[in-house]
Amino acid sequence: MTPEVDRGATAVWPLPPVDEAVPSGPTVASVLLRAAPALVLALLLGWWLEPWVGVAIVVAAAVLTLVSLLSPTAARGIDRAFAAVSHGVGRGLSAVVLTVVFVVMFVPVGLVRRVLRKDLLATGAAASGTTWLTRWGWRDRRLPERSYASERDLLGGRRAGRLLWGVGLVVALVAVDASVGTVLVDPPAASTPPPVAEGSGEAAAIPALAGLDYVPQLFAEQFAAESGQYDALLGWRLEDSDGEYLNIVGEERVSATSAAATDDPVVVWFFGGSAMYGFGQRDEHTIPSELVALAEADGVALEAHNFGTPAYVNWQGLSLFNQLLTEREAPDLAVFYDGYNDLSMQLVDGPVTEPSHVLARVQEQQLTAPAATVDRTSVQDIGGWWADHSGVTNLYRRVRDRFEDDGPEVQLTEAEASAVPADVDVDATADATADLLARGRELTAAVGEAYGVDVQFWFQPTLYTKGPVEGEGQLPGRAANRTPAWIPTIAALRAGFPAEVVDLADALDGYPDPLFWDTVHTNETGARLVAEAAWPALLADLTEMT
Amino acid sequence: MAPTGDGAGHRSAPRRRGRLLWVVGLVTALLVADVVAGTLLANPAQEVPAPLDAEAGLDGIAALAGLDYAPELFREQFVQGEGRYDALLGWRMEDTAGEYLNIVEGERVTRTTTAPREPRVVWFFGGSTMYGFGQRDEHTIPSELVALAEGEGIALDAHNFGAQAYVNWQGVSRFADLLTDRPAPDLAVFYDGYNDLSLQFVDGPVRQPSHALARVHRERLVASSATDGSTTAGDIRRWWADHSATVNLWHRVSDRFGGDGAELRLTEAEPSLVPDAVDPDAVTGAAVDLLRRGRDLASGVAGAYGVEVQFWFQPTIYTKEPVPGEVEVLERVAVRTPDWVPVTQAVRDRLPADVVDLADVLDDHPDPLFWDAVHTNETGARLIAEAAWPALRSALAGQAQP
Repeated sequence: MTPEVDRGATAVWPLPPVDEAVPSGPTVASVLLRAAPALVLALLLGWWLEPWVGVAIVVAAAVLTLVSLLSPTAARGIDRAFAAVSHGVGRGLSAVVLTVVFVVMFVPVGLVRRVLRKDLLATGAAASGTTWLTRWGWRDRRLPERSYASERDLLGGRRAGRLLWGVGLVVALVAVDASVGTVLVDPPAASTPPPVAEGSGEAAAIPALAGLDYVPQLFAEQFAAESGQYDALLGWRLEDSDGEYLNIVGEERVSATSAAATDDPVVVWFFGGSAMYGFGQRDEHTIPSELVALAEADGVALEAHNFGTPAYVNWQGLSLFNQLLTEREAPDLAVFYDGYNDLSMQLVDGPVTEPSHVLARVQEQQLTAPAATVDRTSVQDIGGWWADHSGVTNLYRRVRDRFEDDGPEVQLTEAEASAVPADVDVDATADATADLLARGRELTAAVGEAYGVDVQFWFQPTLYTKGPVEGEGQLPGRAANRTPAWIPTIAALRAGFPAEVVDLADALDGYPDPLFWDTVHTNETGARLVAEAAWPALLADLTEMT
Repeated sequence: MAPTGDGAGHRSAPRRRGRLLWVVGLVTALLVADVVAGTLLANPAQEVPAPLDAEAGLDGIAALAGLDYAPELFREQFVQGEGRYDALLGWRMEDTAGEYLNIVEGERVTRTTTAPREPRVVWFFGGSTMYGFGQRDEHTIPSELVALAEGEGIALDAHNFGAQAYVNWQGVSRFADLLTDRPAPDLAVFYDGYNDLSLQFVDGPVRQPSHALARVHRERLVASSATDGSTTAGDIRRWWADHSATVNLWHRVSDRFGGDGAELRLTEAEPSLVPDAVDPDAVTGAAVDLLRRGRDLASGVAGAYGVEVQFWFQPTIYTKEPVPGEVEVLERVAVRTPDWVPVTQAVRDRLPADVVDLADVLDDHPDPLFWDAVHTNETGARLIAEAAWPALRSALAGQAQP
């Protein structure tokens, strides 16, 4: 019985001929025809993917070709198998290619058509003069949404459309939220927060700086210059800067020049942190500049070189001293003015028993973080980006900040890393600080001796050693590294100082007006008072030298 | 009035907005599908770069052929890595316990002398060659020196503070640091040259004390600082590019036809590439100046502590004519430049008399000694120690015996 054939189906996918005459034997041409595609495929895959894939295909093709040559029956079976595979692959590829064509061509064209409301197939003839009757209910029905398909309201199609509409609505809302949040972002939060001088944003409102018209400009210049430049072995160092009140030339803060007439001034290098650098003071009113003026009044020509660098601990100053000695002509005297940063490092990260600096923990985390997180953005990053730019989140934070006493939430910054643990061990902190300072003094003295430089070590005053007067009382509570351990730790440290240390911690005691604008930085009056207190020790050494 | 059948007349603003939302939704859905597909189809090899694995290539290195301890030694070495972070040195060695590599209190374990006399204490500083990269504890240069001294009845208490990739200034800084922490030694030896020049080739001319990873560290710190506060739109674009199937496909196709190979992310290997436009004179001048400054400071500090110092200039494959088995090593080095030979020679020409120039001590040895451009096998370490011993013995002899 002859099998019934669906003619409609075979018109689309014709069946292979059933009674095709079997060739008497394989010809060279047929063998080559069979082998050539396999060879081409092997070459392409071997080149694109892996060579061994190509080799495997060549081997398989060789085996099949050999079998085909030896057995016509096997050859027919192989041909049928290939035909079936080709059929399946062809249909699969058709689906893929047509899907791509649909997505790449028809979807964009359709979208453009919908957005522009332009029917590319419309002739314009039906718009007027048509004899067709409008069907009842036509106005209430949605318009055709497909250009070349059934116009029936398929439930699935409507659902998909609603889903896309819903997704679009959510995305639009998120975009609006981000736009609003970006436009309305709180300016101070968006700018880089100053890591050291908390409260400087409203510097003029701080009693110690009140009424000083140069303060806004000075602080703007300070914050622009304070981070300095990266240094592989110091952590950071000063970068030259040119301002109205703050100038750094040759990596040293500009100091007053002595007017005392002499060809051979006494050269003094000053090292320390931001208090020596003069954070909060104009070039002419830093401690070194005030010392130049004091010396001048006593007829001493002092050539001051201010290498103070924000946030430096003693060992960093010493390391810079070592570098400079191999690079420049040695000075007559070097002064190291330390204490606060050394203690802060210990209170925050301590006890620290090896030379380090205040950003060590932050930098270690940044450097030892897996490279993947440095290079690759995570989903959390995107969440963070949205939170930073979201109007809703911004509003939520502002409202929450109103009801909380801790001030606005900030991202992890260097300031956050300055928080002091609650269980800080005062004795261990004082011991570690004393040990590192002693090691620093010992090495500095040795290097000074090697290069013929006298050295002095000054211990600086802070708000904790002075005790706040009216106008300074709120400052300890605003310090990022606030802890009640400051006062006992400093007292323990000072109690163990050797005679060689010039202890200036009490130099500001008894002064009635506010001097500090944070827990360690003073206004220019404070710098002058510190200089006046230190001058006798410096003068004694200079006199001894001369 | 009869309806016209023209739908356009009925399309109100709400319908337009609805279509716009529909389009936005469709675009979003396509983006999500793209990211999902890209995430699922990501090439695993790109996610986690393969770690440096010298062990896998040891068999092909002539200088290490047949050494049964080499695989385990190299495994221990690579586990040890560059040590731990140090804020003012860059990094320092971290204590480790292994079969062949041990570090205790920051110093590589060295042979203990059996000579009966009061030992002379010598501190050794330098990079990985002094540390003994490729040598067991008992066969590093300091250990070989202990053995040589012992052979002459001299008791040497050697402390090996060599650290991976250290340049001279790092060693000098470590020396100064240690002097405030431990009893001073009788003598300190600084063994440098290769890392100092490598630093200059890759990042130079470097005129201030620095270290070999300075650029990498700076870039990481800057990148971290930049992203500490908030994620940028660029981050999100990169995230999408990392996860997009379309971008992935584009990269694969462009890589196939680009001829430059697959796109690589910045790793620590990349910064070791030497720029094409190296100025040999500037590099030489900077290296000579920094080495001079390091010697100056080391001598000054040592003098204050009553410590004798010696400065040794190390041999490399660029100072020694490579023998068969070493030539192919040159093709594998990261810091590759034809300027190595002339610049090394120029630096040597400007070394003062107090520097012990050991650069030629491996010349004429018939067997392969170098397993990369600077690290030798244990035979190489022994030959260097033998060449350096007379200078060391002379310095020790010049000091009063305790």
